[in-house]
Amino acid sequence: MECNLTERDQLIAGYVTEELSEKEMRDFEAHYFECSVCSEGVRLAAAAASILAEDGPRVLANAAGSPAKASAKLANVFGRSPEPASSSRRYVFPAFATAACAVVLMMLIFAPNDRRHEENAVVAGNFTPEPYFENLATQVVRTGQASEQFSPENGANLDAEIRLEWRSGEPSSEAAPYEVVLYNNKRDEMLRSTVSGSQLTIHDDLPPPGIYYWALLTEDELVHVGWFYYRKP
Amino acid sequence: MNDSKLLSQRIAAGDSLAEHELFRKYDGEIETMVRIRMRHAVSEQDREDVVAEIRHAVLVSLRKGAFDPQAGRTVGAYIAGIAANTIGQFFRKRERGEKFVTGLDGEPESDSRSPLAELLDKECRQELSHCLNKLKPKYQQVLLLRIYEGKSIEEISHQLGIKPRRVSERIHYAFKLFVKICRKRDLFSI
Repeated sequence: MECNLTERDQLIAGYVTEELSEKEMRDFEAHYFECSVCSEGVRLAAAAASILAEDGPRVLANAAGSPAKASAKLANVFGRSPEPASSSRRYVFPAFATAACAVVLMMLIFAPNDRRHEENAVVAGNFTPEPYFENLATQVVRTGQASEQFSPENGANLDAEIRLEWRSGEPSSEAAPYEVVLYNNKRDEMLRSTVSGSQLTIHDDLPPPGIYYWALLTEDELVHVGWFYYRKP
Repeated sequence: MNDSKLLSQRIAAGDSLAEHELFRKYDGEIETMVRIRMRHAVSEQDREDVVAEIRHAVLVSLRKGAFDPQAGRTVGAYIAGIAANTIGQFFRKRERGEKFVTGLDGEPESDSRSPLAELLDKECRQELSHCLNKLKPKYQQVLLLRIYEGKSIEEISHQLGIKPRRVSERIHYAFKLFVKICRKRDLFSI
């Protein structure tokens, strides 16, 4: 069944936490008794409220006030101690990295001894994937947010400006600020910027061609790690 | 005419099978509503009695043909209204110190567990707890303060140093995320 109730989320939360007036409750009940979407939402929210009312602190071990979990996640990014990747890409990427290194080595061995080809070899090295960030990019690093979209997609080729975008679906009052960090494949931090909107465009001081990794963070969690190729036009 | 309105007409005509069909459709909503509206200081037995009384009142009303399918009101809305009145009656009687007596006289028993009761089973409870733990700490925090500690929006606002409107928004968004996470995990498919 389609539900076109515009304030469904507010009504469900308000109903379960008893913030609606008697009239609002009756109106919403008249609706959800016939609406499978709202009825499901009410049931799930009621179940959550029931669990929290009975046993909240034990169920929610990492509620704010004990931000150890989020801090640990951030330490993972900057402390260079990634958790082992859980997907099959952890086997694919070391192999890919080894193959890429072999290609670079071949280029170095067989390249003619002129300056232009030396430069090409250095540039080729900039495209070697960095395993630590590759791992992070394959993990689901965010926790709470739903319906997120990030751009560019992993593996995209950018050849002009670098435009990083994200959409969290959070209310505007909740969605700020983000910190964006850009790394090259040697884990050098190329840029760090705090952004209150949902995009960052780099026009000037563009980095040399290569593979780049970007991390999107809030004050308490690592939201996203992505990667892209940057090739000068 | 939709299925529910046809059901109500069959009940008015004395079709007992239609009564079972009606409750198969609305039992979950009735039980959820009772659990939400009667969350505080009410025993499980009292809740069960109220659910039984709502079923009884709905049947008596529909059998008498009191529901008018042409009046523009849905059967669900009609049942929700009866349920709200029955719950209100329970609390008024309790205030007066009177016993809440159900008028059951051999009406159809509920033949299945409600979806909410199934959600609160031990195994499903673990899944739901897992989904709650997927929320960011700031969302978990407002849920704990509001639901477990029973604090008002103003008290939470004061404690966290944010505007009351933001507390409400955070609670709304926390539930929205929770429902989305549950749906993603196919925990409770429509």
